[in-house]
Amino acid sequence: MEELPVEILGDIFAMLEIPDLVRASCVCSSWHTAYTSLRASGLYKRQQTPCLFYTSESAGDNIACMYSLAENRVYKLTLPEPPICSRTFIGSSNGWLVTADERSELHIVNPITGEQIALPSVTTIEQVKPIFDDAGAIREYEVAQYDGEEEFAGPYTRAPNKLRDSLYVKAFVFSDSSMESYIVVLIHEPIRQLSFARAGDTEWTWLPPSAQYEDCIYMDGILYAVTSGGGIDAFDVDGPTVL
Amino acid sequence: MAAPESGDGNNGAARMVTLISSDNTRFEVEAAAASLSQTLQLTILDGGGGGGDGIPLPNVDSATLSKVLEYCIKHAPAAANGGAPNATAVDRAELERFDNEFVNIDQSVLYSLIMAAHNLEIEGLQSLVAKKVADMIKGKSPMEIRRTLGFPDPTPEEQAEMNAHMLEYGWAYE
Repeated sequence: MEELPVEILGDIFAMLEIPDLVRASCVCSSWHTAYTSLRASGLYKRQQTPCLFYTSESAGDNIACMYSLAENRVYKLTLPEPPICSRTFIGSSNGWLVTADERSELHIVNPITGEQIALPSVTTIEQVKPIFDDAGAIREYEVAQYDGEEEFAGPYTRAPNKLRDSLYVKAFVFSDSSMESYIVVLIHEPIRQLSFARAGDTEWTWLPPSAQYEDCIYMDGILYAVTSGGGIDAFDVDGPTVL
Repeated sequence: MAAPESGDGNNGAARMVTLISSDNTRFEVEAAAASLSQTLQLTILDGGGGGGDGIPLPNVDSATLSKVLEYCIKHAPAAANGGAPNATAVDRAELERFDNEFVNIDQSVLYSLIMAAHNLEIEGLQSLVAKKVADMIKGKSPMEIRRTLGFPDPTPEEQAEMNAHMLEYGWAYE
């Protein structure tokens, strides 16, 4: 079995649950090569048995617990700061979780690999403005209530740790498997508008004028978003322009 | 798929082909069964393998080929039905029982089968043997996997490399 060629190992590995896949990758160097090329090829598409993802005081602030139904056991994943136990989850796609921390700042984190990427600051979202205290720290945020067409109400304010609850509705990560390029799309308040950020962006790009979005998907440079009224808008996010 | 013969293919009219193993043993088998191999299918569609000619398979020995053909003969009727949409639950259960029994074999035989299924591109058999190996890996540590599959003990260099890779995903080993 030692001599199994890399392409056949790929077929075998593609049938494994992720913890088994990770362990198999350490068996020897040719198995590690097979694992690396399987990941890079994007051919690993096995439906995973669902895991329960949770945090607990006894495990520790930076530990995410993953209960595997397939193996009937818990895996403990150590994740980077800020503490995973203090974050809320606003989306997950392609192995990435989108989290909002106690300052309402966003990260994408891959719990399996421990990779984490900080997303552009919440203050760069079109309608969000920081209000500083005398010491220059952010005291609270002001959220303006307008979309691309009109201001329909006056602004409201939220404490940094409360903003996330009222601002974020849903988040999506669209990427190629290597994550060399990715795009994160947010549906956020007021009235469920869209903003996006690409890899390396330092601010969120707002996509006016429409609102009331429910869901979206990205393909070949075009973002398709569906509204609660059943309409579908397409955006060329390389532009960005509404199509 | 091979052109369907009149009747159920067991009436003596079914087209036969000859396959020749690496150790020169000749196997006569129904074209429909041999055609489960993508590699052989083209040759057979071109009319090859009939009469005294035979198709040489220099990479497959007779023990392995006989095992491969056992699989093909069992699965040919279902494949001829286009994946057997009208197969009964009993037929499917029987194929499943056959498959489970079929891969309950020595690792050296399993290895030869894996290579033959790959060379001959027999899709169902490729998945079956890959799944068998996947099942042998499940729930085991890298060292347990090595022992299960009969790898020699790692050299100090190999051990160091294993340790380095295991550190990347420490959570999987607690």
